[in-house]
Amino acid sequence: MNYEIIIGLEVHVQLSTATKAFCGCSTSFESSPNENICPVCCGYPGVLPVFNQRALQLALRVCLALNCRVNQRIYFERKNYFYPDLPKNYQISQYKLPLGEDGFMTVPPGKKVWIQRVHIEEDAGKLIHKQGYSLIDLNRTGIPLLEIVTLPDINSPQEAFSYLNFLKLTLQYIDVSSCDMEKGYLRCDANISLKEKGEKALGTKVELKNMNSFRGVRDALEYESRRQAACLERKQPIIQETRLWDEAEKKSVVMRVKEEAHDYRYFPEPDLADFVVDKAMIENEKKSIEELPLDKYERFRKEYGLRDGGLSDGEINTLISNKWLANFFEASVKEAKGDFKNVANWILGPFLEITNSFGGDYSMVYITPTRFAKIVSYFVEGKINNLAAKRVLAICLKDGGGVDAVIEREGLSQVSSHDGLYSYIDEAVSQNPEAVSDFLQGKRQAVMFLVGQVMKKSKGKANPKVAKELLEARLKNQAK
Amino acid sequence: MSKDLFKLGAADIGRAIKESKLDRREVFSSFCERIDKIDKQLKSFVEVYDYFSYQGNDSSLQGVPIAVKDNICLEARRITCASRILSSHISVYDATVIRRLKKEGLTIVGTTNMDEFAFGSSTENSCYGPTKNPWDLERVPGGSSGGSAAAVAARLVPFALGSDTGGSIRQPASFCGVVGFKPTYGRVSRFGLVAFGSSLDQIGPITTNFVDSAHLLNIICGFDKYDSTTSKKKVPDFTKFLLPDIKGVKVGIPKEYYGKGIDPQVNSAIQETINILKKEGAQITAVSLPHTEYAVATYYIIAPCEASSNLQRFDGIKYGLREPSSDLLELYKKTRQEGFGDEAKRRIFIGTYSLSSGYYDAYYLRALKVRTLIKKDFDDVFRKVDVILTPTSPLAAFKLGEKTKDPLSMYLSDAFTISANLAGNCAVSFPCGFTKENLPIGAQLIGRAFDEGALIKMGFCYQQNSDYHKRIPPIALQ
Amino acid sequence: MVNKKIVDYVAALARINVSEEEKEHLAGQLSDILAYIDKLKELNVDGVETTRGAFSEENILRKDIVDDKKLSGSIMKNAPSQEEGCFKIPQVIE
Repeated sequence: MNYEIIIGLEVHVQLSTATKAFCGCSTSFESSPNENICPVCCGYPGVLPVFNQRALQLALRVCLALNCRVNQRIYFERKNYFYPDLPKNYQISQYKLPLGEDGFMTVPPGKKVWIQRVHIEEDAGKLIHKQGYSLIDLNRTGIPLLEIVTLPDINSPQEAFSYLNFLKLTLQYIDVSSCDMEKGYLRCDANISLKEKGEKALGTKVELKNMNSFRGVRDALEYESRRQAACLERKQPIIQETRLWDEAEKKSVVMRVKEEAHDYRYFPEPDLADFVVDKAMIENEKKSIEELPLDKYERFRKEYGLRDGGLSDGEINTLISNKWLANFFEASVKEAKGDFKNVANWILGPFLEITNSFGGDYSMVYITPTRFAKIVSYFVEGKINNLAAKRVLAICLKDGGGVDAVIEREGLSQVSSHDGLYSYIDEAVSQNPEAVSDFLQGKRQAVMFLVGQVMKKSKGKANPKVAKELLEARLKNQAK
Repeated sequence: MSKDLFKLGAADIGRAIKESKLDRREVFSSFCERIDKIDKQLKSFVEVYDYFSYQGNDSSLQGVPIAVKDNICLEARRITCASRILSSHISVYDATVIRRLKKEGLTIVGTTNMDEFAFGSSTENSCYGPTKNPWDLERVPGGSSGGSAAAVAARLVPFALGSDTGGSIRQPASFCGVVGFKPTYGRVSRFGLVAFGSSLDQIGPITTNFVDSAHLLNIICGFDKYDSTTSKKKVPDFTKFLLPDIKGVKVGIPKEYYGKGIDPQVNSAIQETINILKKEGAQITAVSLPHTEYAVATYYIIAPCEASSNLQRFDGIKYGLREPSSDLLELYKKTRQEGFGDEAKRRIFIGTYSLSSGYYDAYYLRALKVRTLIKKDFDDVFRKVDVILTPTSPLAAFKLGEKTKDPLSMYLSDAFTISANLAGNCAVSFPCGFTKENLPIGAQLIGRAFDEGALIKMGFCYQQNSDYHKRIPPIALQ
Repeated sequence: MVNKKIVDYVAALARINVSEEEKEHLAGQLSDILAYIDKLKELNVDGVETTRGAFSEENILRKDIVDDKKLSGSIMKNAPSQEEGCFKIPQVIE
């Protein structure tokens, strides 16, 4: 039987504010337990929330980036439920009137994922489970979160995976969140149902939780779609339930059903007045969105891709996979007078090799686009050879410093002058009569051995192209 | 030092301290002696502090002792809301009003008794036991700010702070024969006031006269960055309204407040008040607030809904009482069973029920709509008149235990004070007569939002022409 | 009409134990109060806006600047039970 897969995703992302949503406590991750707490986020008697302006701005920016209709007037509501990581035993959230509704995001190469709603809420604390008891750390309590909910509109685990990656990229581009899943800055729950191809009615929905990576989400969805298909084949009913993904076992298990149904008793938060999103606020946020990854992707394809010798989609995707990297690329291209091909080659090759070796943290890159472009052009002009260029790049990237100074200091400048090369050539020819005679007997490739000797003697500084020309000329002369 | 010091108003004491005619420490001691002597019978205080002087600036109330209802937070002091669930809790911060009192150099004497979490109209729902009415020890002082009202009436302290969600300042002021002021919603910061009904609560002064109300309002009113519901409107100098000139001021008499169920003695005291105001030049007009009869029902949905949510934080996890259990759910349930009194539980149940799925529209949502209608009644009337005059309560103070068995009848005793909270207007109760049993009767003035000045002006004018506010209960003269 | 079953449901939501005799009593009192509140049903509220509160301002926002009052220590002092700087509670079963 052929089944259609219907997936909806619910992403919680931590907004990168300095302080919590409703109090002035720091949001720092590197703190000891309960260091960043105050009466407000601990739900002390008598306290009141005051909303963080930056949280509203960042949330608004996300709504705009996701093409949402922004509700002009919003208010918060209380979601009431008892849980030990929720000090007030209610969460300040949005219910009837979320900040953004009815948006979409286009995921390259062209899937449009519909966003149902984007709303602001506060995070809960962290429970630490010990033998026979639990501990509560409230540092995370009250940190502003954005909940981004898609319509059940995604048709495969791979599509879900692409959506999540591109959503993360989009959020990183507009500087609203680091989206670091390991730190819990981005969390994702999914729901999935199957239906026979052509069938109108939706199948029974199963919720999936506890996925710790995008790969985990994809694996869990794949597992669940196979499980549901098997059930349907065997004519077993699908039970509406929540299942937890077990990363180690690569399978999902049913979450124990809670004793009582949820009755969150939402009602408007009386401690917070309304917020009105005006034109100026929207304009401000629009301005701070420079270029979304999708726009950058399309522009890169137009400018650097769709032409002879242009960059491939894969190369473009790598370049835009990080806003800093994409900007570095373009700035370097400009400095290299439009030589995007060589700049791209050097970024995608040696540059990324070095940065990946320290975990892709671009804040540790000391080289400027100007200097980077200089290295690339020195290489292209033959001023330095490949090996030397990589060496200069590594030094400038990790430690900084001017390109010429590094070349000078390290003695890496390429010898191209005939006079400079003759002494190495003389030596190579006189010390390797066998290679010379091989060449003279017609083995043309023997010249490469001699070029290698010249390189060795010059400690890599010789320009191999010029050396080869001079060697060939010399050997041909000898033959006469 | 004058042995009649206690008969002075707060502003008089402040002036004397400022002019070095009185010593602030001696003032404090003299009131503490009175508390020691008299409060054994009244039980208006929960805790009395040792003397501590705050460096005030050149304030008119520097060094004046003040009592604070036990639901307003003071740093490093116990805050209990007269509830077992908070009995050991120490506040780690000052409420905004407390910060302002300290800044002006007032001396905080201690905390006063109240109905648990301000749930009640008699101060009988307190884990410390009831406070007595200084005019008759067998009667309630009203509530929920009964401790503050009784303490001020017995002159154990020149004035006090209370909180008013549905009449909790005005009704006890009326029962005890003092002035109880509920400012406009948003006028005084609620930061540090333990929330009951967040959209209704206001802190306000309980004083013996309008001069002191004006001085205290000057200190506590104004925008607070820690309370998003405070107003940025400029706060006038309320002492500028202490002028006995009410010529041409329009006073509305809403017919809905003068129906059956009102003690005839209350009615005639109000009539007498109207006559005095008329004589001073006020124009008296009959008006109508047609949705008045729905106010109690509306209030008893909205306030418990908000309260049920506000009180969820008392769970035995972070502070306060914990009834130990090896099971978390049991810990919650036992802590809250033991920690809350009957009335608190009733309100939590009403609120939880009204918000629960299936009932939300019928109760909570409907109440929010009726609230709109009640507010509109006031908006309409305030286009025609400047202030509204009503009795504060249909009856004078009732006997201890008289209404505890019948919560609904207790709720109905708030019928005249609740509307001002629902609409957000300012309102004040002041003494306007006595029953033949020598129990005080209170009149209520309701004003436009942010027009506290009009109430001060009218109240001050009235007190220039009457001396009910100068009567002191016999117990205070012992 | 509030019956014992509703009292049980609400007690569970509100996390309050109620004894059997209290339940009867509470059901009766809540029924009386709600019967009175049913008065609101007399009114036609079609098309009437809701009043969420008596707010006088909108857009009251706080600057995103850390305001560390260093109260963590005194807050932890109020904890009924603690360990390793955390609030200690019975085991939470997830």
